[in-house]
Amino acid sequence: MNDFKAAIRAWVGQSRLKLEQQSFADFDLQVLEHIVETSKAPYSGAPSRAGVQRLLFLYCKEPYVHSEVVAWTDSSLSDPPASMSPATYTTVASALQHGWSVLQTPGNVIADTEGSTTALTYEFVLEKWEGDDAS
Amino acid sequence: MPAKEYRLSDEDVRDFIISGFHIVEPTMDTGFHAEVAADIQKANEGQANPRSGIVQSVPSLQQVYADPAVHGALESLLGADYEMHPYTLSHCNPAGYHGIYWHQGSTRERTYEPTRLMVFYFPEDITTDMGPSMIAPGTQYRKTTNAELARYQHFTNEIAVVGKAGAVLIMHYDLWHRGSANHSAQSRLMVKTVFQRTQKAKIPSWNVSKDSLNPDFLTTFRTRRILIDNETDAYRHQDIWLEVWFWLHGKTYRDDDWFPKYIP
Repeated sequence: MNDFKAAIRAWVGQSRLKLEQQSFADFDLQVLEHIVETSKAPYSGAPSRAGVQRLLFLYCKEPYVHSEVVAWTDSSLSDPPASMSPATYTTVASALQHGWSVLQTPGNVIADTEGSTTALTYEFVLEKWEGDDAS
Repeated sequence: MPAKEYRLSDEDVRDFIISGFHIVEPTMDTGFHAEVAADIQKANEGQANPRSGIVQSVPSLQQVYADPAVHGALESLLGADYEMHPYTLSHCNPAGYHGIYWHQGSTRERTYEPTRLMVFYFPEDITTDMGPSMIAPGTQYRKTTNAELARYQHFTNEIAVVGKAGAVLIMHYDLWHRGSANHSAQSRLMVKTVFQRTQKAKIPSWNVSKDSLNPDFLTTFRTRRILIDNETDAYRHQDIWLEVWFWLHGKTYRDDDWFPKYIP
């Protein structure tokens, strides 16, 4: 509930500024709808969140959310990582179903060159807040 | 010279080209490896990672590399006149060691062909909690940097190299690997050496069969796939594997060496 109030307050503050600048638009109402539907503040940034942010980097075979995960890095694991660790999620889609949010998608990047292979470049960055209601 | 039976088969060499590693069990008994381990500890005088020169300091190590099973594998992949690089190291990862990031051997020039091999010798038993070496099979042809590799924690196809004392891991020099965290109460000892070609391959140096360039055998490269590869990577790697296979025969691969029988 506190997250919801903070998100609404942040939205009101941003909306007042936009009204002063005459830049308030239908998009801002869509943001409000999103906040109401999800009880989150996706556009207001970290200050509205309590707890610790956990990051998950999933490297997939192809740049879409149902593609198979082939490598991963979890900010909650030891650094450097332990010997072996089973993959928690086989796809980005399955991580989303368990409360993770996408911060970054691989985008439309040409990842390699003809005739050779490179590092695993289809990287999705996800976040979860420890103690988050959605988790 | 090793007996011919210790050289690798077509299938062994093919699998090395694809996965980037091969594990050999030397012919000596366990007692020999225990003595070598003691000699290494004595030579290092308590240092975990002393400066290069461990093979020069511990002569019994030469017996490991001269063992017919090890020599036969190295000869198969590097040609009869291969040599040991003078840079030889021992790594003793103590209990509680935190591990290191994924990396490749540093070099100014990388090649698809096995011109250099990294060889890890483990004189003591290695279990999963002792901080075993980790390898990611099939990654040796991927062009990247160690800075890029450090971003990954785990791969779905990673392997922990565990086993009985005496195991020798032979790797393509560019295979992605790392030392992992040691959660046991024991230290983990390993000797790292590099072996290299002295000349380009002219003829096969393994127990080559008369069918090694037959389309039926070449097709076996086209049916293999690395677990982390997408379809584009898979096709590219299959081409690279065949290029290396022909190179080891002293020949140059062309698409029509394989295609005519299978493309209508």
